[in-house]
Amino acid sequence: MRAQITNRDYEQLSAYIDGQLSSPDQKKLEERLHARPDLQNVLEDLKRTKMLLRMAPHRRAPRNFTLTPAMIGGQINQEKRSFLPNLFPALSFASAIAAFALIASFLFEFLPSSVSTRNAGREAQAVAMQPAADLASEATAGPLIQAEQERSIEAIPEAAEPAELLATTPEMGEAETPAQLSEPSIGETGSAAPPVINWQSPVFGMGGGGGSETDSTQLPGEYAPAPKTGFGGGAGGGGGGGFPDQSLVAPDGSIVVPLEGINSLTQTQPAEESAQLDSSRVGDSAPGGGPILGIPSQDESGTIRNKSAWGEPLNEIQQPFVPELEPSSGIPAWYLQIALAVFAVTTGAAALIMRRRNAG
Amino acid sequence: MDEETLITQAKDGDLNAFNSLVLKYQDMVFNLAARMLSDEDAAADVAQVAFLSAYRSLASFRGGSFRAWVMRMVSNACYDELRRRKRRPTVSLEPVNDDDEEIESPAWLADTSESPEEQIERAELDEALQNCLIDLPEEFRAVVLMVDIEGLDYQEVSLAIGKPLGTVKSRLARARLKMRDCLREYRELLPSIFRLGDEVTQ
Repeated sequence: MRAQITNRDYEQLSAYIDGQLSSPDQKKLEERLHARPDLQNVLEDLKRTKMLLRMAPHRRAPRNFTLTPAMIGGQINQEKRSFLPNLFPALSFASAIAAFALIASFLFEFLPSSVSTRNAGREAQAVAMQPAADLASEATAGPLIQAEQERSIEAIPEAAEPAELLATTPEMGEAETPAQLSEPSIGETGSAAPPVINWQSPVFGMGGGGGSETDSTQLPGEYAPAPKTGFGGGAGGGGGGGFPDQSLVAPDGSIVVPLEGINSLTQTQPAEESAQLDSSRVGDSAPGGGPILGIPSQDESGTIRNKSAWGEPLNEIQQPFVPELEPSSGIPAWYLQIALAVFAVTTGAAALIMRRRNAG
Repeated sequence: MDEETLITQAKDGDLNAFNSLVLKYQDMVFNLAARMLSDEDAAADVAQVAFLSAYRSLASFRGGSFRAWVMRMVSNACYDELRRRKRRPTVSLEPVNDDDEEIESPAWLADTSESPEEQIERAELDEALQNCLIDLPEEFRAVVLMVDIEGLDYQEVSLAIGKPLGTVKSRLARARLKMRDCLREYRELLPSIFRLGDEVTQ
């Protein structure tokens, strides 16, 4: 039976040819070679193969490969160039990061302002609704006032003519004179428009605002007191949560915002406190000192409340409301943005140059 | 001047000393590259790159066989060239003259000391060997070239290829067996005394 020649046998035979076997391994292999002719044949083949390879023509160098100082300098330049491409990913990454940071800085610059603007808008809306609630609460007392004021008009005949002129202004009392009528009102003063909130939609007074008797002679933009007749006008305003009273609505759908509401943008009062203030004021102005809500005093009757009630002429407070932002402390943001932009452009350009150089 | 002195001076920046080493080993380096790549033009470029790399890395030479260290530079440069060729395959063209006619063999024109018959035999043997060498895996090819053609010992080859001695032995044995099997196909072209046996071994 012929034994199979293993890879180890081939390795030992190959090493035996080169004299790379240790003495014990060499003796063992020589004993096997005497016993196995197949191993001898392989050994002869390997010897011939090695001899053939040794006979292979030795190719001589076609030229000298000696180095020159210029070649070494070129090699140094090549080394520098080979180092530069490593900067390409770093530069491109830095440029991308700087660009993202720049975008983020813009976003952070605009986001807080928009949030604060929205918050200010909500505050202005809440404050604008507060005087409407006050007026609506006054309007609940309309039916009680009506009879008393009619008696007052009858008792003073000389005031009949102005009363006729202002028949559609039911709150105008007997002390009302034409001189008082000539007083500039909001609608008549064309010097400047009052602060107006545009609700962007037709405004409907959620509080009702009175009965069926409406005032057809109300001047545009003029503050209209609550109608004397009619019922159920206090439903919306009494809760304080009703939409702005229709008496505050200008014909163009805008809403007159009282000064009190604007002043309270930065200093809001609790709803209960403002309700107490309103009730005490109305109570004081009621003739006879009775604590009837909604009855204006005779001096106050028929006049426009938005001057006397909030202390100062409206044309002084007609500046448009602009929410003030806290000035940021430290380095201005635009310094950082400019620095980021310059960095992003510089690194991006360098990365581009690197890429072109690598391609070249 | 001995080799160690030249190496020391080259390490100190003496370019002439390094060039003396280049002149000593350039034929061996070029031959190995030419056999590895089977392309003399590419072999010349690889040899130049290898010497430049050797000069650049001379500080990393810690003694021992400078020949093996240089062969390592060459073999690495050859592997790089072979990888580059695999990425961007090119068609190898036979050398042509000015009339675009193919030159059969540059060696034929270079060596005039032999008779035409001898030159033909040598050329045929060279062609057969090169064809078989090219068929070898690159790792086997490098080992058999270093040992059987360049005459390096196993230890030097181990240093040159960065592999253990057992790997060198194994690769060399397998490379020789493959060469034997391949050269049998060219037995008609080989000298009669070198014709390999017909025994088929496993």
